[in-house]
Amino acid sequence: MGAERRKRDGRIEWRRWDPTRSKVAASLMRCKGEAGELLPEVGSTCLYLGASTGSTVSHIHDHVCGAGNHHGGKVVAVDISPRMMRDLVRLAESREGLIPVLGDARLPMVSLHICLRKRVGCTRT
Amino acid sequence: MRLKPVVNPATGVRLLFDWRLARVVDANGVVFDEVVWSGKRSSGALADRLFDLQRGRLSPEARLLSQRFPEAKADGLGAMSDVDWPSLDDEESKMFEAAAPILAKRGVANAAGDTDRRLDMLVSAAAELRAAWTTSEARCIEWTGLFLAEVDLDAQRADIPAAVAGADSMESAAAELGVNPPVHSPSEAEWQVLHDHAHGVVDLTARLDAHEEAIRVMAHQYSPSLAALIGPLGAARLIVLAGGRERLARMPSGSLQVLGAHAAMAAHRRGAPPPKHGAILFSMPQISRSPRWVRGKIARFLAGKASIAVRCDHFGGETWTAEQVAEIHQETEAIKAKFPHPPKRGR
Repeated sequence: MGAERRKRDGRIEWRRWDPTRSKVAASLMRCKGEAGELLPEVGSTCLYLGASTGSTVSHIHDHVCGAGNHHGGKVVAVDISPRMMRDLVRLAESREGLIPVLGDARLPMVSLHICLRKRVGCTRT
Repeated sequence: MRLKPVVNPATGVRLLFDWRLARVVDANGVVFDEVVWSGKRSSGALADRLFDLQRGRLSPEARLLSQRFPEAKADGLGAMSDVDWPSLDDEESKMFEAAAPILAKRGVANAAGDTDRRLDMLVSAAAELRAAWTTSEARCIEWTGLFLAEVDLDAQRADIPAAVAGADSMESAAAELGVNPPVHSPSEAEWQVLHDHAHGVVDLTARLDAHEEAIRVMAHQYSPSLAALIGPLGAARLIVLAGGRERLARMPSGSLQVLGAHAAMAAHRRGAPPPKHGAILFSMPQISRSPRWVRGKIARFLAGKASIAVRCDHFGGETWTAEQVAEIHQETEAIKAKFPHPPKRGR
């Protein structure tokens, strides 16, 4: 994997969100209506199924939680593969509000329902 | 697992629980009893609890309540749909967020306890090693053969890498192999590289043997009946191709029969005739040494037996004895004897 493209503009940092690698980014590009409506509300609780190593998750997290989770959101990222979870756990260490869950999303996950008793913002595969 | 609320038809009383508390509730939502986790709460202890809950076990509080109300039906997911269930306070959600990565890390560490994953690494490593070995070994033979024109590259093939690796010049390698010295000798630098290359081949041979021995040991432990029937290396490769012993055991024998024939199966979907067997079954002498017209019949028969064998291994059946396996192999001979001549064409 190549290094991520970043650009700094004063206090704001921009990260490239590649629509050829992320389905969410691609759907935002192709959206005919208001693209922002596709994204979950800022500060909501999101469930992301099939998080993999978390590249798309990191962008959702930026939107929902913001830097240092100043919006107070939550992203629950589920993946079945221990190999992917390894990288996802490392990502979660630097991102407050990102909760990695190793498990099969086809089975009801007992540990999940507790944090998701609040209204769920979005579900994706 | 079921998602519908599980209600005991006799009383309608349910036992609901999550990691914080357990409740006994009737069909109208009246709470009979409640126990809250009162011990010292920490994210490590919570991770232990969540680990148990994910495996479908009761929490200690729920166990207490199920002793008090034996008629209450435990419902691990009921708390999710109960509108009266208390929501998390800030401290609790903080603790949960701290426990989730601990749980995930534990899951990552536990992946090594999965024999399927370990077998996959072992078999894939051996396959890559074998691919490297064939290339290197062939190069070593050709390279030496270029200098030593009199060496028999077929009869002496196995001795050549060791002879070159053990010699200190091309002339001494020729003496070792019992042929005349080369007309043109390699330069000093050239010989050094050729010599090291032969060393590499000898090393690779030893490593490949060690790899396959490790696979044999593992396959005999993990899937003894299948290993007895089609050989430990074939059994291991079948398990890896299927993506685990469980998936192989749940596979119909027709799928097992064509494991390793992916290209032929893809061609079959576009109209080509179906493959008779996959690469692993074909590697058995019962199939590869049989005449063409009985291979499909024997492959079908053996695939059926192999799928029974792996089911015995996975679902805790009796391990097949050597006599049972010998009986199956005799039956393949009977199939072969039944069809001594190729089928007539043009009918």
